[in-house]
Amino acid sequence: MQQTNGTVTGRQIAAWVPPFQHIPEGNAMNPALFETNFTGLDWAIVAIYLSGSIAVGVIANRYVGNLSDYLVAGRTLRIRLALASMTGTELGLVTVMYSAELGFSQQFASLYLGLLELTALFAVGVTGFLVYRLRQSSVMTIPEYYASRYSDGVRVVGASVMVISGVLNMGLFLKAGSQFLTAISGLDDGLYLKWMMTGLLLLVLFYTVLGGMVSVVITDLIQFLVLGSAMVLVSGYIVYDVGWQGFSSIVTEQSAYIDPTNATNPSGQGSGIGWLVIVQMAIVIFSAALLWPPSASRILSVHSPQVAQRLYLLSSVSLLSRRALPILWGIGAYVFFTQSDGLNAAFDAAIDEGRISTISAMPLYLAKIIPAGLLGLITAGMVAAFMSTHDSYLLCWSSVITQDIVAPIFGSISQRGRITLTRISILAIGAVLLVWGLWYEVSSNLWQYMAVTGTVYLAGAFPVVAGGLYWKRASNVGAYAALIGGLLGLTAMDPVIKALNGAGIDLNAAHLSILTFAVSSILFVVGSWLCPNGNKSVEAANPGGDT
Amino acid sequence: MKVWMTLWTILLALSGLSLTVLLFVIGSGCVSELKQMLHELKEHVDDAQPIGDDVRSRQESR
Repeated sequence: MQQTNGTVTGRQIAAWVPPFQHIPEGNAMNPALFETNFTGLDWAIVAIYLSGSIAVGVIANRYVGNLSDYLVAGRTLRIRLALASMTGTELGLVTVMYSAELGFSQQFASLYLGLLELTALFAVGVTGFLVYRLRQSSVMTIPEYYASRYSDGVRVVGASVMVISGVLNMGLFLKAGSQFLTAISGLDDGLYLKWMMTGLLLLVLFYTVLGGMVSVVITDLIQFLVLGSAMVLVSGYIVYDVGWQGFSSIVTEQSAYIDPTNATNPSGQGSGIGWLVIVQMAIVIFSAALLWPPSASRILSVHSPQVAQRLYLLSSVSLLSRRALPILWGIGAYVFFTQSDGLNAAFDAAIDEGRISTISAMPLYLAKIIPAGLLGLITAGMVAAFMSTHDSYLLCWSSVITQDIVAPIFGSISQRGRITLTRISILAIGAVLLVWGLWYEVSSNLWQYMAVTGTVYLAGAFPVVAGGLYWKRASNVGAYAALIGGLLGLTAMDPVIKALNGAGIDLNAAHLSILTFAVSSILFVVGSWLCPNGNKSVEAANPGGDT
Repeated sequence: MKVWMTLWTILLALSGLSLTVLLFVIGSGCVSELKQMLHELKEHVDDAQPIGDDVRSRQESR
């Protein structure tokens, strides 16, 4: 490990070689870029993990007696399991990938996202804002709350917007997973990887369809323990590998991005941040922490409102790791590539050819510095994370389709019928994900895509739920207007931004996301003021009673 | 710049430490919680609520 008390000179940087860097330097077309320490041992570790997941699905099916067991594990979660499950769900492969991509392209400045999330979760954990009352309402999904506070119509509209947003949001999960496995395992064959990702998706579908929330909770727990341990080990390894000198050298000598309030990225690796983006992300992260359905489903699955609030307080620190540590890996990748001229040129060339994107920097880096065995553990953990997020999201969106779109429209459906319908929805969403992941191209970074697609749902849901819980006058018309207003968020997606810019309208995703939140909130307030619900009681949906 | 780097260093250290502590805390008590959850779910299955029971009607009956 290189440590120094003095300033590093440019000459020292050029001579400095990370201690575990043992790959050959090459020219721009050198295949050394895809060289990996991944071996048969690592494949075996991954295979053993996947086999275990199948077993969990089969076993969990024995514990599903009714719909409540299937969707919210019978509301039997205690604090440790809930915390592991919530962290497991939020610590997905995609989270690790987009965080590492931000770490690579925006270096230290990208840690502002972790700071925002820490602040948001801590504030909710201390105050119990929204989550306490939401759990008190005893609903199983957010749209179910729409129905009890507003009307069945609001429920159907809200659920439909939620599913559009949610399925779009997970639309690139398969692609991100594919890019991770390609880079880490050195399997530079697109077709082979597509089949592998299809297989993984089928595996997730299998045990989610079979075991519902029970299997989701168990696999989340295993995933948290496996990936959590691997993350600690790998982070320690990277700190040892890069060393204090490596980290300080990019600050003192290579204009690394440090200050997120600066809108220009001095490293030249990616887009800048600035106050506009910080405001956009603060709004998205705060509303997502409260109402992003997979997280909200954990609030609704816990034993009591007190546990729901405590869950937020504890997860404020645990969820910090899911962003900060992968960002550290991304910074490590930045140091690694900028210190290796040959590899850096090969990396840039591969990006120019469209073979990879900046998202591949972290796995390519890990593949070269992490030894066999530990590489298998981290890959198993990441595959676990991939499946864990998929199962939670699939179960969440499919249960919304069943409970909140089909059932209100078509009337009474038996519990057995609802479980079957949920399973069919899981399969249908899986098919959509395969198609979307294959053709949609992202020109911005992956996190911006996630934030924009999330906005479609969050912009409408936040005023509708918060208003419903805390404002007596909140009405159906206001709720409809806010939820539909959230669809304005679709304009912040890449193809629309390009079209707008092409037409001479100089707007970006941050502008349009903030605009969407503002428009939805204004529509909600104006609609509720102009068209109140009359004398409809809010007590059923507002168990706190003190509106 | 020093202020930002101090903040980021603290944040990174906090995230690494917190994850380590959380792994110990959850790892130490999760098995008993898991057994308890499965036990309660098994009781649900054994009690077998009648199929066709609508979710909302169950909530209303609470």
